[in-house]
Amino acid sequence: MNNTATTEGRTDTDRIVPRAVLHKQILDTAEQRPGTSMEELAEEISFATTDLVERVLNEYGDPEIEDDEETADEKTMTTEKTGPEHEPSIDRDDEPEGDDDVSEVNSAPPSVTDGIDNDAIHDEIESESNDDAMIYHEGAVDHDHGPDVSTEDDDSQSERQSASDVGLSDLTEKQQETILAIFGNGRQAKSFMHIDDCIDAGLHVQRASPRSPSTSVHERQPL
Amino acid sequence: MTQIADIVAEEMGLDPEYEYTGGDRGWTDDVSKMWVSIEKLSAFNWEPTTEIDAAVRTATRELLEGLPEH
Repeated sequence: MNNTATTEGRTDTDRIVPRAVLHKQILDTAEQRPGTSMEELAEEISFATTDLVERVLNEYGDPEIEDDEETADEKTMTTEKTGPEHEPSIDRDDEPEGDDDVSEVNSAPPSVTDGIDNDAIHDEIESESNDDAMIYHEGAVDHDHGPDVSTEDDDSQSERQSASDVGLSDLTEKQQETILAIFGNGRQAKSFMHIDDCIDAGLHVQRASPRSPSTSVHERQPL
Repeated sequence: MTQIADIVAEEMGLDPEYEYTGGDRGWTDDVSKMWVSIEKLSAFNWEPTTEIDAAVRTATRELLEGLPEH
């Protein structure tokens, strides 16, 4: 298995960067360095263009602005929820990652989610999940030193610009099979149980607890 | 997570290159380590039949078997 936790020391000329990785780098850098212009962020982050930085910050929300507006937003939301003609809505533009959206939707209070078109939300989540799978192609850039924007010719700039819109369909079959974006550092540890065991455990407890509510239902007399 | 990716990739017959987004959490509100105890189930003399790695592998196979052929 080819695990590449970092890209240090790589000088290959045909490397691919998952879109999720690049987006996270942009958001993290923007959060860590408030006040940095989009142009400076683009220069600092390998394979990012000013246009891409602007697009990512607009799409997911600029962490710098988010911090400033957090309190104001909370007040606004409270007012909207209590308004007489409250139309429930979820503003997902300020969410950093697609997976957050799932937990956000699932954990949203009923007063916020009531009346929302669940199919539309599902489609949006699915769309963003696919977006995370998209990748960026570095082309012939030396990753050790990053792209030298000041000396980059028009062709290189054009290549990088078009690379920002590379999707799965633009990749070779081999490329699609060889890149997998993993959120985090890969060391997250969760416990899992096979569904058969899960069901078996539930039934076992049910059988072992004759007075449990789930079994007493069957013992009730018909109305 | 990497172990799971390894298992899934192996079951799919793929050899992907991993790119990590970084940090000890995959996303906001993610939990880096979460171990759910089966102590109470054990008190009822219940034991799981499948180890965690095997469970992931089995579930992967079942999902793959359920996928329509292209």
